[in-house]
Amino acid sequence: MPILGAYCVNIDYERCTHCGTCVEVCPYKVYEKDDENRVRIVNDMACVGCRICMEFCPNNATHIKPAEPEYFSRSLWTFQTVEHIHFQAQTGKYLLRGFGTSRIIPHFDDLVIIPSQLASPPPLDKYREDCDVSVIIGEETVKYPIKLKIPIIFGAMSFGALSKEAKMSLAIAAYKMGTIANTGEGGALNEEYPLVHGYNTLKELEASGKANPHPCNGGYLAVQWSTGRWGVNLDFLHNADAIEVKIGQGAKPGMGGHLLGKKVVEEVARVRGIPIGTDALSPPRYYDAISPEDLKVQIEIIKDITDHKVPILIKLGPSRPYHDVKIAVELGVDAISIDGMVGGTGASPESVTQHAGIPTIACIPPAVKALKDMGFYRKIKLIALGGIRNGVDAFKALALGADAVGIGTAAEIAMGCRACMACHQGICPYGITTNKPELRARLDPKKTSQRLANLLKAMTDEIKIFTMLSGHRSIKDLSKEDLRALTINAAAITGVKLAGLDRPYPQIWEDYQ
Amino acid sequence: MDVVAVSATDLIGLKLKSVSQKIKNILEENETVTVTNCDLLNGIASGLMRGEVIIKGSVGNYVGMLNSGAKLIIEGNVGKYIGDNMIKGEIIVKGNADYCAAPYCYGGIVIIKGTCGDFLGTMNKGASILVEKDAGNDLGTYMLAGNIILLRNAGERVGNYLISGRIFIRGKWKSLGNNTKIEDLSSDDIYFLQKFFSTYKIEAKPEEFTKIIADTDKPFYSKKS
Repeated sequence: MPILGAYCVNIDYERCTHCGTCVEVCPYKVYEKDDENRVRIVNDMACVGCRICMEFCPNNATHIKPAEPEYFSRSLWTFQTVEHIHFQAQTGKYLLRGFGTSRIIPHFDDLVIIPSQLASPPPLDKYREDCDVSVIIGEETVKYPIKLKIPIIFGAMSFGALSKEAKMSLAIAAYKMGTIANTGEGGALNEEYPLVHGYNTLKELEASGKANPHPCNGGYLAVQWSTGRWGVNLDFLHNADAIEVKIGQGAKPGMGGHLLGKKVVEEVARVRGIPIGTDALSPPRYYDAISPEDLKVQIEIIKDITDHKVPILIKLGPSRPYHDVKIAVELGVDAISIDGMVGGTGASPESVTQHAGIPTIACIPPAVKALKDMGFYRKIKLIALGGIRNGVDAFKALALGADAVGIGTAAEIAMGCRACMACHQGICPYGITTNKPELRARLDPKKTSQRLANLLKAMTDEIKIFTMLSGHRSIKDLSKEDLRALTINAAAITGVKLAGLDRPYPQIWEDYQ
Repeated sequence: MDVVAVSATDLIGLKLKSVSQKIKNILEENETVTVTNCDLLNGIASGLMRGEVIIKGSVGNYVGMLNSGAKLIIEGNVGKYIGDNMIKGEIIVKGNADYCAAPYCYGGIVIIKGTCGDFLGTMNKGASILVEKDAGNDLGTYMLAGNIILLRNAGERVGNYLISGRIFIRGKWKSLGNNTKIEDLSSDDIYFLQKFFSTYKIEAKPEEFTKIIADTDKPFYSKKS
């Protein structure tokens, strides 16, 4: 229950034929049939706003509308706050939900893109000229670098948090678009590795003799080495096209992972190596690395075991990006992912999601400065994640200094998600964040992977449009000069010049130019 | 039997890669390799799938990380995190083990003849770990499967947030962790311990041990109130 009672549920009884479709498709038990076989709303407080009933209703008779916010009449005591307190008073529990922060914080919308006119190189022709959007990770450090065809990768989302079909869709889409699918911290599905390289099964892949060992065919599979170490073994590491060491994530930095017991079904339990039905809570820190020095040794051993053939990535949550990135550089990684507080998750205490961390646009400039100060900018690749919705956000992240961006929530939405934020309940009506067979059956990996590939293609086209209208032929040439800030807050935290003022605000941030 | 003598050059830069390569090369043609002079080296004998490695003297941290079938015998003391994330195989330490021995193991056997530090067998997911002398605090924290057998005393918070698996202690402990309870030994437990002691020539009798298990397998958010 992301926001209790936040939706008004209505049935238009002039249209309703009482066929019972809404009763059947709603996993939250909002509707029931009465003794006379008529459909009734029995629990509108349970509605999460997923609108699956509207999708399936053959008569367009069900309607879900947001409840009135009442922000003005109740000041601090908004509807959401009141219901939150009631929930805690009734249960003694803190509220869990999926997704990232819903607070209004400085984000990419506070920045605009500056087109090229007379004072800069002229714009290029998107329709008749080329634009380089490729990115190479580990170019000079590993035997098999990752050669991304597009500067957009899929962020880490684990099997268990996501359904098998959703994970398969991501792998197929990564193959189609030549980008990275990430196992997340829940171990790897048998299907992921062949699918990401364009084969249906491991057997088919092995018979081809092409993809194993490297170099890669099609997409790339990044595997995650995390604090829970779920499903990690030698094959897991040897089959990887990249290994990502997870330190934190945007939605719940400093908290580890949460996979509630209701989502730990037999196959998830098998892949993770844990008992069925138990909460899989990854620790917030590595038990086996109590200092950065230990972590450095651990990474050295991972490189030794895998002959450092593939890049090592590190994923940071939104904390102290400048200092964190400097330490990450010393650990000897090939790329650094940094996830802002807008980044999503399958389950997190709501208070943490709302209040811990810093915005994505505040993470990138200090990370860039750290890389520049260490002499590794553009050598160790910087990947920005957290609330990237489209090619415009992606362009702005690249102009702030990132080499590539990652999407997670946007990918879920492309798969059909309606952002009801109830992923943690494990009964996603669109078959994305559930492990129930009847709900998973609603998601077809072939169709869904095409939707994901379409999203990546459209986003890449948008990046090309903005790169070229800014007068650049390559995303590597983008800089903060291609942006202006619309608000003082955004200007202050990014170092981007304030629109109209045309200089950084305040001056101290000129250091980041 | 071939011997890898870790050279001064290896140790100056702690060149794990060169030592690992030597060990792997020898194990390709031999069953056993002996390694000497490696007391400052971290991560030795990691990720091996077969063979026997005998380490003379003491050794650094992360020995046998991701061991996937090899038998490691360390004749001295070991540093932190021995057997980290082991999948299968055997590790026998004749001296003491430092902090967080055998964390994140999915399987295999770890035997420590001396004492061990805090956080022994953390997040154990299937290994059987035996310590002949005392263990520190937080033994078996967040263990999900497998067995920990302690022949002497343990410190605070034994089995903290245990989910599953068994802890057998012959001595005393300062305190039990959250979500633990004591249960009588079953016939399965006695059979397991007898077989284990007989295989590894441990002088102990099952009935001398107390068994500690999880109170519930849902101690976190999904706990039934």
